[in-house]
Amino acid sequence: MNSKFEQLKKTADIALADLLERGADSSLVSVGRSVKNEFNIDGGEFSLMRTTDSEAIGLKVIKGNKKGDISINSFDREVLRNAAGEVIKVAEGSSADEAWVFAKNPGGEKHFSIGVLDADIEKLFDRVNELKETLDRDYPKIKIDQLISSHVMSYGVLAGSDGLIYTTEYGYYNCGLSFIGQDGDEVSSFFGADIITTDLDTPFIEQGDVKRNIEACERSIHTEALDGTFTGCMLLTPDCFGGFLFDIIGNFAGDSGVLEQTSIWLNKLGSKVADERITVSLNPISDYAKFYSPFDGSGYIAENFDLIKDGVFESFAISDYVARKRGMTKAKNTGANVSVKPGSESLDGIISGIDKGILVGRFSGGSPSSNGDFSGVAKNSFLIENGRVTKPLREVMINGNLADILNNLRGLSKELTENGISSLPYAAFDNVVISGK
Amino acid sequence: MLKDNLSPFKSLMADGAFTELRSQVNRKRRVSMIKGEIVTNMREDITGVGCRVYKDGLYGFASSPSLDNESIKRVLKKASENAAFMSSRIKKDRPAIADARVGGYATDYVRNDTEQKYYIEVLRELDDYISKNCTGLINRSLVAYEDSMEKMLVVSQGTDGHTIVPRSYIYIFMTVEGRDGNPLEVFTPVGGFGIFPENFSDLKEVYSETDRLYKLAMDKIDGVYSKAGLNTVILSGELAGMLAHEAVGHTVEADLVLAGSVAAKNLNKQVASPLVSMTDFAHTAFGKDAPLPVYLDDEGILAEDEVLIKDGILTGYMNSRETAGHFGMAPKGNARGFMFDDEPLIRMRNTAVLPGESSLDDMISSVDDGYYLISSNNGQADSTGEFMFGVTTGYEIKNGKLGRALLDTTISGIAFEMLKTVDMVGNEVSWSSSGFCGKKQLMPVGLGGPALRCKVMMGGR
Repeated sequence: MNSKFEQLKKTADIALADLLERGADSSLVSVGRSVKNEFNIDGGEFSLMRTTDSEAIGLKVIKGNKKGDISINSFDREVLRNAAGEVIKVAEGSSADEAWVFAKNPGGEKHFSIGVLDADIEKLFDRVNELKETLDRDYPKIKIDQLISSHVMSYGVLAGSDGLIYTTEYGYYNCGLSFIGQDGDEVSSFFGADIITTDLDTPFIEQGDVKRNIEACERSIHTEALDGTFTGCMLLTPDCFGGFLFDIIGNFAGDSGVLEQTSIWLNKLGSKVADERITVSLNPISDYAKFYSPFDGSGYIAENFDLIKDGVFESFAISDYVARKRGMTKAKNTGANVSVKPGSESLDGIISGIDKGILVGRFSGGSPSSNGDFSGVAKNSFLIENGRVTKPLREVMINGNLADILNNLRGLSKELTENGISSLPYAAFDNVVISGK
Repeated sequence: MLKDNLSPFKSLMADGAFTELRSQVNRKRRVSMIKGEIVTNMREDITGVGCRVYKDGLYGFASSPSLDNESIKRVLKKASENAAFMSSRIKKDRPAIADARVGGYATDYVRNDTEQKYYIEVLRELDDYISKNCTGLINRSLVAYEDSMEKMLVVSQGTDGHTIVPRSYIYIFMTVEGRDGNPLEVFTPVGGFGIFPENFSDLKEVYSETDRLYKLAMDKIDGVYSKAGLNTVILSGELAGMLAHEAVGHTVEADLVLAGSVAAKNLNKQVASPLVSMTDFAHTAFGKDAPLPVYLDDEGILAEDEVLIKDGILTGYMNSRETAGHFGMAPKGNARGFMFDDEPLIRMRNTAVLPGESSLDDMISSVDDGYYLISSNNGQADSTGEFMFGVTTGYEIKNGKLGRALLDTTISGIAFEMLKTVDMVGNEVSWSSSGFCGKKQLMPVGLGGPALRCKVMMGGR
């Protein structure tokens, strides 16, 4: 094994020995280093090149079924020794809880290598510059608010007191772009796109939703207000659908709703919770996921799973602790690599079937209630009338319930957008309250 | 406590460039409890040094988690190399950063550490109180939280210094079952500037806030949806603070002005009712310490207040030293970085609407049909000045009296249009400081204001 891991393993071993000496029953130590090289554009102009070196040590212990957790970023021997003493005190002050358990040593060292480890900084700069020049030349009404593009390289060791050893190394490029459309005194809402990629051979504008969102923003400078309120169809772009899915998973299937017993899906496992055309999966090990967490905070190795399959609720997205606490089964991963099975209809086909509705590019809303009620502003949105996308809108609010919309699906597009984390179609839902002034 | 091992490196800062060198410790303590059981119990201490170099309109930045002399030398060199890389590829030829007052600032605050069991004991005491006094809840959860930023700053030109900003809170969450069987949640933070024992050695105020929250929770059981559309509302001081921060503050951050925010065309114009004035306070407001005082920013500028709106006229932007030069304004100390490896960005400090003359009772009695909106769980702003806040507690107002409680809703509006509808301003300011502002990096900020009577768009059924 590479010497870079050997040094980290030594540090992890020292920490494990410190913790054992202080009476820990079970320990998990993570030790890592990372380097980020980043370019920034602000207000349409290059502004900053940033290089950050980071170190991270995490100490987790269980003593007498009590858990403690400390994070530091120093490899200094004295600092490490103090942290080991401190984390034992943190645990001792807590309450005993048998649900705290770390992953068992699966036998044999595991190694995970993900993405592009070696940065090509010159080429990254060229891709960023190319995106800026493309916008300046081909989209003169689009003004970059901020562009942050970087390469991140990280490597680390996770070591357990029972001999568990995982080594990881990963690297990826990302590009986060925020922009507005501007024509004279009129400006559009902020819009943007984010991609994680291992591909510097393809221009950034050709990846993910970048080009589509730029063109949508260009068309949404001269907006019109919507008169009155109607109940209609809400067509979400893949990015925007991803945000709704994040809330759905968090509210109904995630740790807090289960732990607090407030999830309205607590007794729905194996039951239909969505239209049968909806299959939602969390698949970190897939072509679309350019970056993922190979294991969770307790050391459990990630596997793919279906959260909803053909409309039926198949699995909660909960951690091992919450699963043990509530007598349930933990999720095979608790990451963010969500995918939704595409539909059979084209986006144009879905739009042509909508009499009155709204195409939403971005949702700016309050955190949805535990019961799934949501309301907020439909940003970067367009009116859909008689099967056509017509005028860009401003000051439009949409209101509904996250659980209800899953059962009011009009359609999922066969077109998918992959942004390096997720793979999602357009999604259209009926019976949403859409209100203007 | 950080030691000043940075000053000796001033001599290594390159001529003809503006350089900041900052060492920093971010400390975080967190315990969370659900129905009396501890589910989070963690501490975090993150230390390091960062350096930023400005030359010809471009910045280079580098950081290291080590504070030894070799690491400091390395980040100084790497930051200069990064600035040079940018200059080799991009020609901006901007003027140098203008000189600022030279001096030193040293905090007299001594930040002590607290054992983890203290946070746990306080939460257990509060949980016992809620368990005994707040019957009918289907869930209760508590979070004890403390964070602090300690910074040592040395700049090639300006004011060097040492600052510490600690804050600590207890977040109280209560969940009740609505009439339709669905869960309904309310929450409130209690706390402010200072480490945990300074704020919670006596729980009297926490119990009082707990009782207030419990009433809101029980009222919400019979809550109703708001009417979707434009409504007359009384915004509480908390929501007025959100308005100051989200709807106005962000649009007048000079970097967002340069990016095309709606404020770019409104300087020195009427953007609000003459009843409305707004200031980003540095460290002192209304004769007292501001919630999260900032005395020195991360560019070596001694902090001063920035008046944003005076009698309804937009009067200023918040600037970095670079943007202040661009706009011909004075920098007032708004440039701050969150962690040691974060470059300073233009950030708000303690942004507030100034108080007026009306009592809250008079304001409520003046509304025939509308809403009193009390607390929020999040907010966002836009380049157009359009804002959105999630509203978690509020009441109907019918014929000048409070009516039924509201279920969760969202309000929105265009800031510079909505502010012109303000026709009554309350006479008491309330502050909050428990959240983070997100803008590439997180940043603790204070926000406040009096109650406002105005018209806003509301979500609903």
